[in-house]
Amino acid sequence: MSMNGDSSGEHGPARPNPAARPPRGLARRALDILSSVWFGVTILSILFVYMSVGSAGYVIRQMPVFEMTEYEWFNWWPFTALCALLCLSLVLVTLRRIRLNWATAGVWMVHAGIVTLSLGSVWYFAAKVEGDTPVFRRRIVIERPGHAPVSLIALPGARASVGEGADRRDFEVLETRPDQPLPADAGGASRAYAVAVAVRTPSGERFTQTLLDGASTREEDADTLGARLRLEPVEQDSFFLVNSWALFFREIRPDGAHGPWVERPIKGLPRYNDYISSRADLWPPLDGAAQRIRPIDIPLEPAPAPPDAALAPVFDALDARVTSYLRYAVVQSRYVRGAESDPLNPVVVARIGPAAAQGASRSAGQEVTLAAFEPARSQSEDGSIAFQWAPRETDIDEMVRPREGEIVVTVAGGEPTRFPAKAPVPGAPEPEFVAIGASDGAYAVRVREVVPNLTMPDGASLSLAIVDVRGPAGEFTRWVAEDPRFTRDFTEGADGSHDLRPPDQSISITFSPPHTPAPVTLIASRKDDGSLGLWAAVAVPGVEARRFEVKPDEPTPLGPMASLTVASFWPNATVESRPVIVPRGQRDKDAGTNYALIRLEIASGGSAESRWLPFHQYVFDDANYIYGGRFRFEPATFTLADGRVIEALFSRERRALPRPVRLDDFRLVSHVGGFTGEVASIRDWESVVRFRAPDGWSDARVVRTNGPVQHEGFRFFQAMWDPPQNEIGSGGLNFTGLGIGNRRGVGVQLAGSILATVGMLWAFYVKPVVRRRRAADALARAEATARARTPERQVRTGAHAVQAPIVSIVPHDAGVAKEAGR
Amino acid sequence: MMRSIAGALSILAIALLCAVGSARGADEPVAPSDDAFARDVDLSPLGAVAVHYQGRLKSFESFAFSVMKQVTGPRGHEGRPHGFTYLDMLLAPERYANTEIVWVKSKLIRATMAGALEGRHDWPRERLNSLLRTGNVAPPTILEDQAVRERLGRIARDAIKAKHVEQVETALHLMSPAVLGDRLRILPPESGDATTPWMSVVGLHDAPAGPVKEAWAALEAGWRERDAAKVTAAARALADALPAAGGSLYPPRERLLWEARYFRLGGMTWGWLVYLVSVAFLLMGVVYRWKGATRAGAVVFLGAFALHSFALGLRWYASGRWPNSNMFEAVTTAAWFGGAAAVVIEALARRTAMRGVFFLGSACASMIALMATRFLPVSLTPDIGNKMPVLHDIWLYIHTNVIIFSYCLIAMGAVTSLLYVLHRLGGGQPDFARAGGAGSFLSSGRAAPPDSGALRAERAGRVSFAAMLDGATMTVMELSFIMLFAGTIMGAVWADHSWGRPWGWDPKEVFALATFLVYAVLVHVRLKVRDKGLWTAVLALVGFAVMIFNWTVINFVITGLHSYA
Repeated sequence: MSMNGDSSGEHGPARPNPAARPPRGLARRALDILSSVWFGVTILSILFVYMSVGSAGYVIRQMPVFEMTEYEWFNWWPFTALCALLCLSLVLVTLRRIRLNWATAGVWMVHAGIVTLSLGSVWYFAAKVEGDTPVFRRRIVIERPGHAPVSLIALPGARASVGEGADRRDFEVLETRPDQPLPADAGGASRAYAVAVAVRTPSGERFTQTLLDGASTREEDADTLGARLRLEPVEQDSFFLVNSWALFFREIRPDGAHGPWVERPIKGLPRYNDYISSRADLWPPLDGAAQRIRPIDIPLEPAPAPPDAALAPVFDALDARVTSYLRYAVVQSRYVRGAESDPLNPVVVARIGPAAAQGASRSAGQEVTLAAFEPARSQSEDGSIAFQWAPRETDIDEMVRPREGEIVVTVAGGEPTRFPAKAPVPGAPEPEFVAIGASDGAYAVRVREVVPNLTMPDGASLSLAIVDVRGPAGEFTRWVAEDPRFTRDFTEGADGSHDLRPPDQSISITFSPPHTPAPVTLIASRKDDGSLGLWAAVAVPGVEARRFEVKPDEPTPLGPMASLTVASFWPNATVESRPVIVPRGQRDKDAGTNYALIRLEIASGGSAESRWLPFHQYVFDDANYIYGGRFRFEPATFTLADGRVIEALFSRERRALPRPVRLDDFRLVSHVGGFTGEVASIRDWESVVRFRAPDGWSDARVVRTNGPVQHEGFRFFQAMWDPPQNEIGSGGLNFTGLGIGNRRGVGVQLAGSILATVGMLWAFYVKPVVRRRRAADALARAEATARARTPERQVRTGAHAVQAPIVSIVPHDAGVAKEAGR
Repeated sequence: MMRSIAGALSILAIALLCAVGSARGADEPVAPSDDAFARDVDLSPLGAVAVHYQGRLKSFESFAFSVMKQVTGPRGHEGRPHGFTYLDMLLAPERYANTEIVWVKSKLIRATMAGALEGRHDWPRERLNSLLRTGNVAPPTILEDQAVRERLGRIARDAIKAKHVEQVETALHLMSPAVLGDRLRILPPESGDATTPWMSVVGLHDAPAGPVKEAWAALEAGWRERDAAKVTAAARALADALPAAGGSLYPPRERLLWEARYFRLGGMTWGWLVYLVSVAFLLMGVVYRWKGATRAGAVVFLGAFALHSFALGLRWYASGRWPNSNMFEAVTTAAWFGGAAAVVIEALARRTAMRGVFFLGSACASMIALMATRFLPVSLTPDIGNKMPVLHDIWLYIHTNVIIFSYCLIAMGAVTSLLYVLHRLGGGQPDFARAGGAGSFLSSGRAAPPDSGALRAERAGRVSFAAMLDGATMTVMELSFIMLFAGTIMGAVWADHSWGRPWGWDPKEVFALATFLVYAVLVHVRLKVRDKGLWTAVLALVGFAVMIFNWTVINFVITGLHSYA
């Protein structure tokens, strides 16, 4: 490596005349090639292209023929070979062609630094272990007399039951708060981590207990709850490797208990492309693209380190293999035509599109699938089309006839009082209370509001009447649902809040909501001859209401602009779940492998069973870790020929931490004004952790964004956090995400980098000074010699020649420059 | 040939300057003639009002820019200050109910809307073209037009394209007076607790009586009456009352006022015009060796650099941190580093033939950088926000500054290389600098022997134009070579303690290394080829292209860990 335009200044002896050169052997020729500058330039150029392709040209790296991550691409043998050749070339060119002196020390340092950096990198990447894990903050330990203690992770939605029959208690985490204010008389800290737990008894009693970190249930509360609850730190003893795949198996024992997860790594599983062995395994792609058949057959690796040694042979002997891989797909349940022997389950696939008169094709328009027996899927397009089942054809007219709603109130077996179920006119004075007949004025009611077709979380529709009741025990509000199971009594607070209260059994209120048929209602029914038929009732504004029998694939005009076509009618539809590949344009590019799926085949007793398994970032013990959808827990169940039932879960390779770690505290450091929900208001996160030590736990260590903690050869750094999710009752900070990695060889890399940098500085800025001094010395020597030995004319010639190399931009005599340059 | 090109470029630069100057006049804020209130009201006192927004205490104008850029776009509405539009939308929302004020950022959405509206009698071609060009639409077009809603709904179902619809929905959401009122958090908590959010003007309605509440009420009343004098007086009263109510939590008045001025001055990115003038002079001076032009160019450059430094310092003062935490800051600060380097190198090179060349390189780089920030405010937003948590580290200042310094040097080298290539394309003779970059300086000034050939040669005018350009390229290339390598290593050190590993083959890391490889190739090719100057220039331009690719495509297109830089 030379740092200026003088190509001859720092290399070894001038090359002899080729004609006079003795014949060279093969080894010598190879050495000459390896130590030529052009060879180095070629390697550098190839490295540039290779790196550009691997990074910006990631499409190439991700092609089926490669299927490589960045890490794999840059640890592939061609890259390693290029780096090795470069290092070899650097060594040879330095030793053979660059004489070591003060002027060339910079080049020596640069070359030595690059070689050292490369060696350090080889060590670093060969020994690299990198992964991450969530470390949860607390678990709830439930202790009941006569029962073994039960643990429940402190995440909203987590549930556990202890006991049987009348002794049973159901526990559910309702809410977590990372900084619950403490009363002033609590002493010590002003805030604490708090978890609200609901406890239910079989009789319907419900209690809520708020647990504070560091405090136990009070005696009086323990008596009421029938249990003692406390919060306890959670130990995390493993982490999951980046860019790895593994399957985990566990046995479900006859008593329902689960064995521990046993890992079976998957090597050679692709990552970026879809590989399937049969199109029948998945739904047709959403974008209609042809799905290419590319089967794979990847057996699993042996279990590396099972937590339970006795299980290793069991799961090692399992004949399991991966037969398909989908990079980005979601599992969808769809109706398919069932056999006539299947239970009745009418489903239609209908299409509402432009009228045929407008020249639209039969396939134009929005296609909807409607199931008569599934409330959430019995209507579509904001209720404009509905599908119902009528036991008899004669029932159809009644079903599509509009009717008024009614509220019927009955007290203690008296005569019912009927009210029209009509919503009060906005702005009208509040209705008066009406005394209910037989109650002698003990009860009075007024209909405050009627809420038709309220959409429930599961998509079903529910109508409500809100009725104020004034009774002997005071005033309350009853939300009367058309389905009595959902009727509830509330006490309304002054601030508008609603507190659930025990139902008043003395007064009965039923609600029949008003019925307005959908503009288009499809009705399936049995004809007189026992066969199944399909009818449509149309009540579109501006078009005369009518009812008619529908024939599949025949467009029926719904007016001048639209038409209805029933594409399929399946009286005995069944449900099938298969994955559907998400079109590339609709994929979240930050999703990573979260939407990856594999098809696992387990052979047992001469037959094989296959299941699709979604990817899990982490492996948990139960579904309590789902945490509002933040994590996934969807293991697949297989029944083996010997009767054993096992669960399989697709995730990443797991490694044991050198020491278990626990999270004492997790703090959010905010900018001025506190955390406002925006990331911009966050200054940092602080995970206060401790490591298991032989004699207990280490001192608390704080992991920050730019402040990792080193422990037993690994670095723990802040990689993920848990933001609040108020909709599920989480105040956030229930777990921290720690990145974990080793860093062998980093010191060597750094030493090489520093050496190279110093060498560059030397070559660019010290070497010219050295050369200038040498030139000045040479000049002085030449002048002295000339004065002593030669006439004046020769001295001047020599002076000019020696000065030339230090002149930057004037022509010079290269031969003498070389002499001066050394 | 080279001189013809230089002359043409200089004339072009001056013509561009004139054209931009006249266009600039047309862009000056003009209040609608029918709104005397907008013209007369003076909101400058509100510059001293602090608003708590996203974990920062911003001056009102800075805050208004942060919010309104999401509604009206970064260029604002009808040239009015963002603060005025904010308050007008909050206190007189009816004026915007049917105004084409919602800025649609995505060209896909603009085209989709235009497609839905095409053929309507109230949407003639000119109006559609205006929508496609400016992206401004009235709320009813989005909210009430069924055809538009249906098409936007279809896009919203697409996971990738949905973000474009979300941008429009966010704009509509922010137009709501309730949202605007809730965002305007001006009253510090009485408790003095720094972790408590400030109270919004909506909360003021329920607050006990006091000077702040009275001032805000007067401002509201004046605004609704369109009484400019009353509003101006209320704004002054509010600016006086708030610091007293805020106590120690309230930021210094001077800081707030300077931040407001900074935004009123448009971040001083118009400084590119001054750089343009210096480019014109310096180009003539360098190419024609016209000392007068070089001197004039140097003076103008120093003026531009002084303005640039002032803008940088102002931003530093207003934000409370060295400005290198987002793309706007990285670009402007990199350009400033180039200017500072040019000043130092020119001081060293004042007795060489290279004088003026470094000013020229820096002026070109700074001009383009400031133009980018001026004309691409969406990608390079001047908004002042908090740093991401990962950036709170000393290595931000070490690694990032070294890297962006090297970037600007690479850009300066690309300018001299481009001149070299143009010179050769125009028939110029091949030549190169014998002693490289730093070595060249040893032949000049005090570093050179008293009777050095360089000095003699230069005095005699024997230094070729090509050799001079090559020497300048090598000077900045040597410096950038070291800084790029060292900066990349420093980044690895930072990554090691922030992300737990020094190197992860992130695209940004890979292309920093790839840029270095190009320069490593340059250094070695220069050793072997006969036409050193040309190869050096060509490879320097390749290196520049790779660096720009790394700074733009990798940041904006390819996801990685460095998308903020």
